[in-house]
Amino acid sequence: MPLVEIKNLKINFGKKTAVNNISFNIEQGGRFGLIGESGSGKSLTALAISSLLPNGATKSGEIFFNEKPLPKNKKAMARLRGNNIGMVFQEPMSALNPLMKINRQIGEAIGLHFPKKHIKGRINSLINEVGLEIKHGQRFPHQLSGGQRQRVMIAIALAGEPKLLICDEPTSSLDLITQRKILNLLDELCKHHDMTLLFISHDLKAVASLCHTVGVLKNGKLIEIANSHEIFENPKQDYTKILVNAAKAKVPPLSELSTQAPLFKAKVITKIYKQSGLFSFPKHPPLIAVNDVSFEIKTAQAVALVGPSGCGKSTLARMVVGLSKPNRGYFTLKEDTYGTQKHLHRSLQRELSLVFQDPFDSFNPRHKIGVSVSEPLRLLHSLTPDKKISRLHETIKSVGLSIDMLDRYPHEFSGGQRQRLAIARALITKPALVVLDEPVSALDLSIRAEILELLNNLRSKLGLSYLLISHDLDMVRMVVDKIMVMQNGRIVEANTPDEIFENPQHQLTKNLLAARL
Amino acid sequence: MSNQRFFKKAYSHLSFRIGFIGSLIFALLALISIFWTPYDITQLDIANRFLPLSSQYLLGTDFFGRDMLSMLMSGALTSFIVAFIAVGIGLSIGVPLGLLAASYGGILEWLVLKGNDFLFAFPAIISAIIITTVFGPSAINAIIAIGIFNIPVFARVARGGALSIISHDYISAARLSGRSSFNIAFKHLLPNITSLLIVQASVQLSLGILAEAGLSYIGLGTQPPATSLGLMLKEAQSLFLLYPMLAILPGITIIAIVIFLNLLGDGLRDTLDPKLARQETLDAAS
Repeated sequence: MPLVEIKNLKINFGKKTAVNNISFNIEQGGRFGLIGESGSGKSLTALAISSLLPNGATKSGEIFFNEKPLPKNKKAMARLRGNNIGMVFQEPMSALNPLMKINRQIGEAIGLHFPKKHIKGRINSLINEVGLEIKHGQRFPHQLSGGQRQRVMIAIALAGEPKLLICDEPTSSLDLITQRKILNLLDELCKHHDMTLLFISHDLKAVASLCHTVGVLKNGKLIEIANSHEIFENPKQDYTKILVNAAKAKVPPLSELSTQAPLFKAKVITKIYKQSGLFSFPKHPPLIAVNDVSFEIKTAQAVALVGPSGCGKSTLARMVVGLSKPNRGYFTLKEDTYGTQKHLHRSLQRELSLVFQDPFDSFNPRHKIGVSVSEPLRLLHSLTPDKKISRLHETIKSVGLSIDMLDRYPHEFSGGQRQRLAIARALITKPALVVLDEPVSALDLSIRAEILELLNNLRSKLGLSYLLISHDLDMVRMVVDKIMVMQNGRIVEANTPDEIFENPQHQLTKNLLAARL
Repeated sequence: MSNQRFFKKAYSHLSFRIGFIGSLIFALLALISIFWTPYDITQLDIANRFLPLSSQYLLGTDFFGRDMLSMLMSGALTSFIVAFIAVGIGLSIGVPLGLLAASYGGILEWLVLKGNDFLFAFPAIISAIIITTVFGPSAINAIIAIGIFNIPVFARVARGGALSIISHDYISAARLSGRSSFNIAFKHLLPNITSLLIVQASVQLSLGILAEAGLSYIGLGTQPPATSLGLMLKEAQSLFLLYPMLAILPGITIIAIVIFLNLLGDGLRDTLDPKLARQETLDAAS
């Protein structure tokens, strides 16, 4: 017997169709995964089930909950929603009240369903159930980690003992290990409470690990429904095949490129942030973001820096390219040294470049793309204007874009194109070492493989060295020759990818490997 | 957003439309007075003084027999010129200070902030009194006083806007491209805060007109035989009970100009506000 039955659901914004004729059922106790890229209409579908569509959206088609159509009356709908549907959103910080302790927020949700005298007991049992400790209830949201906040959100969603739990990208703002834990928690809770689950994600692997049935959305159309095993083994639609391949992520491996010639060295790099001002009291101990880190990159070698969020890997990357200075230690690139005292010289700056995580944030929206991409050419004084233009054209072609795009503004490009442009900007000075800070994590799954392939091709063609920063071991494995694992500002393990995967030494490495989906 | 499209969008905003048309009418009247006024206001005509509203003198005449409409037109011109130049002073000094403070940080930022606080401690009237006691009352000194008052306002707006932009990755990218902090301030930060500055300028313009009227009213601004709206108020004060129109007309003019400019500023802010812009893309999708 289906708990949720959707028939010919269509959601329009004016003339634009966001969700186009979707029909599917979610069985009682079933777990349905909706997968699709940003803008494919998956969140809207979930909002339609709980009648929370944004203003301006018009809905047609029918939705049955427990074999009854959703009530038109707003009050009746609110009652149905409160008693039967729990929701968990992507960003727990914005869904929690920053001025209220966790206990009160959970208690508020319980109070809507249970008499007052039961609230206290229920709070504690819910906190336990989602894997938090009683003391966490006394804290404010900002005192919890991202994973803990998401657990609080789940506790609130469970307060009314809902029949249906809707999770909208609940793990995409979490790091890999935490994601795994949250997925396990959801799995357990659904079993224990016999809850039905609607799980929305752009991550096929996360969906497949949790759900029985998977629906693939593209441009508002439901193009494929199958059980999760079937989708992986035998995808029918071309788009699903792309997604599955991206999830299995096959990028042709490179033959051993790296030479023995050392290119870059980091020696006992330490970065300390003071956490208090001049007069604040009591003084916090200074935060050691990067602690005595030393490593070496050879010419044409690709090295990855892997670790959970907050381990200091981005801080290290900024120091490597010269955006900030270490408190102790120094770097050597080719023959030159820079570090605590010496400013990065211009002639050295051209040998280093950085590709940022978020392609939407790395271009000035008021500048044409051509202007932004050619900006680093300022570092090459000797180049004549003609040569600069031909260098720009050559670089743009090398990342697979055409030169007539140079007159456009950033908002006219897709995420994947922008990341190509960001790579072009990083390569235009012909640097020796390119630092890539999570280069694909902000991109949709289906274009990640493309970008990684581009990176591999460029490296073999130009003999580049990469320092790749990421939290995703699988992605890293396809690109690099050496993996360094970082925890609390220290490098705890460094080895070849094969060794890391076959024979991890450090506990964190083991955890990271275990968290892979 | 192209300029033409922006204007179309702004124009569909009611308060922008009212403010824009109203301000434009007064600005045009003021500009016309440079070349032509119904009567020459330097010519005294005592025989025709205190005339009521009539077809010959549309708004009547004052205690020297000067045509009130002509007086209002050239008075508005003075007010607009004073406010415009004062905004110009604030923009040309305050904006670079604010941008450089945000871009360099450190001791320069500290100095700019403390300098701002220092200037904020003296309202325009107080600094005008200081300036005029030293240099004597005149329209030019009023301009300088109001202009100095505008500097910290623009510095603060520019720094605030720049700080919200400086954390973007493209600023880091520009630094990696060898751009200096100075260069970043004007190539990357300035183009991204122009809309903020335009809104603030329209607000400061109306404040400038008010401040000029205030200064002239207490005798520290424009001096006769030149005229300004504030000066007209001052001269009409002693005759208010007998001939109220002499004070009411310039008073209404001041109020109208200030309200129109504020509506214009409100409309601009609504159109340029990034939050509302996001709303617009939602609306566009619908």
